[in-house]
Amino acid sequence: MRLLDWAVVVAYLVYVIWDGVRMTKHSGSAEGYFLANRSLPWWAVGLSVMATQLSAITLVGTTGQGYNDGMRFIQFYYGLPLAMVILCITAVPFFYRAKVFTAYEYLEKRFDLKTRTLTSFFFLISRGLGVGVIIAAPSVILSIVLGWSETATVFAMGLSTTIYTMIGGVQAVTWTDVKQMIIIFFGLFVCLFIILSKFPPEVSLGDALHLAGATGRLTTVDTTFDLKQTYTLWSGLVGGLFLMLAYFGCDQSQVQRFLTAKSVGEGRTSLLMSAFVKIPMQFLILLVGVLVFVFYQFQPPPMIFNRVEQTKVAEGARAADYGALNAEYEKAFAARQAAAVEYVKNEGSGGDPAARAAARDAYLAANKGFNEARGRGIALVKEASGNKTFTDVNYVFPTFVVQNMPAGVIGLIIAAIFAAAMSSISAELNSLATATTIDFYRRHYKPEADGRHYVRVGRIATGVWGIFACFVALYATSLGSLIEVVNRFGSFFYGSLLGVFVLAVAVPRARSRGAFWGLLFGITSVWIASRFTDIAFLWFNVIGCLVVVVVGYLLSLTVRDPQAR
Amino acid sequence: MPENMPETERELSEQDARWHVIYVAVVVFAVLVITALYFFSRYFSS
Repeated sequence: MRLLDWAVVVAYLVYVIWDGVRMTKHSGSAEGYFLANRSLPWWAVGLSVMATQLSAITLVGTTGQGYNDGMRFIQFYYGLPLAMVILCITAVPFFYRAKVFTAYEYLEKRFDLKTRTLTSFFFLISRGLGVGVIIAAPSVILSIVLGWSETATVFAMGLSTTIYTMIGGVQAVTWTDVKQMIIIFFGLFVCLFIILSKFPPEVSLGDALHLAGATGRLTTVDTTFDLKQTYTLWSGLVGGLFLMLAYFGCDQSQVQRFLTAKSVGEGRTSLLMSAFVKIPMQFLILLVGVLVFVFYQFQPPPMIFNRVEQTKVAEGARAADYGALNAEYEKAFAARQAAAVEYVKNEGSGGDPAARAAARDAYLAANKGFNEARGRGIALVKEASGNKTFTDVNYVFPTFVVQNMPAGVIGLIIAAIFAAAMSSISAELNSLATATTIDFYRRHYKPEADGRHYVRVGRIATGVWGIFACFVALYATSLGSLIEVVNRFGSFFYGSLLGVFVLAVAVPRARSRGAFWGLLFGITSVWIASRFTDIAFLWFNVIGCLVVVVVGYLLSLTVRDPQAR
Repeated sequence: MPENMPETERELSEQDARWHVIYVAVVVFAVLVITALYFFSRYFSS
């Protein structure tokens, strides 16, 4: 990073922290600190909803997935628009008119205290772990770019965000989210434009897409019905629908966004904004990853994108093996580059179909040879480091940015990644603090204190959760593709939480014991499915929800419940 | 809508009708986007 890049990053950080801290004056009461006095406009809430979901993992992990696997990940979001419509009809007016601080408050009214406490507890566990992973992603980037240790980076990133969230409350979270989304979009478009400008002159955007398409990287709809396959049309439409319903309708980090809206209508519009924008936005992010793949058809990519691990192996006991594999890899790259140039030439000429098919086959064979050479390099790192789960997916995009972007733009992209991370971390910490304060402290310990007291407790809870998340982040940096890790964490709990809310709203016969035990059965069934089957994690949401509803309903029929309403 | 419906109820019904139109538009938009992505993928993968 050059001086200009540092200036951009520092300017961004100073501005965001100042912007967050100056919101203190609006957060003196509990309603102001946790819900912004229900006064925010739809567009600010809508951008905040998107910023909360769009973490740095989305930028780093998704672009890495675009590079490695292509666009099939976009199917994950196909259930989102329908989920938003369902939530606009049900959850938004429901929670808004109930005048609750947390989604779980309602469960006490409908069932009982222990159901509220258990669901809120599961939210705290899953989100507490999730926010740790969200901190890990930008820390990985910083450790590469700045050469800091991951531990120092995790604490620097996590604690600085914690401080401004503690002080500013939900208004600070929302208004900084708005500015952060603008920076993210601007950074993405600049990045896309520069990648395109770096292609060889004879390679057009169409050629680039044909190259990516030939390797299967533009697959956006996979109609295979296979429960073991993670991203298909069906897992996206069904599993994704359940996940999005649970995430936006039962997860306090999202429910708290639309609870801050001025009215029910403004809350609905804020969610529908995501329904319109989310799939095109994910397409844009994946496209960046796919175009990075195309860029590296003509420029040599490193065999290992994680340069720390690469240096260790290249200079360690297996240096000779590494050297031999790297020579093989460079040869495979040269063969693929020549085949890619030939393929583009034939595609562009629009000539003889047989020659085009031959050029395509030759390119695919060369690409296969290249992938095998890279695979051998990764296998060597796994052996040498003893880390069997090693993957460098998350290192692809930051390495590309640092090595190929001009001065100033590197700073902008790093600022955009910071923005994505901080917008999510701050919202998550704020919601964790809200659930801790309202569902546990106020409900179980001190119900009669004044608003200022709860604001103080909320600030302390934000700080404690921030430190906890930093420790989780240290563990998460050693796991695989970060975006999948977050979604896996979520999928263990989300479906079952959704099941409890479905019982509450849609099953009048449901009783408290049915809901409580149904929730425990649901989470156990998801654990069994993940432990003993190969079912892809998106389906866990469906399994968890259905088990809770069925078990909860059956228990409600058989168990006499004196507190039934 | 019955003509003797009170004004506030009439307004609420009109509001609901407007929201239903928006919901249908969202779902139709999503189907169109997924369809466009499918053809985009097919065109460049062939």
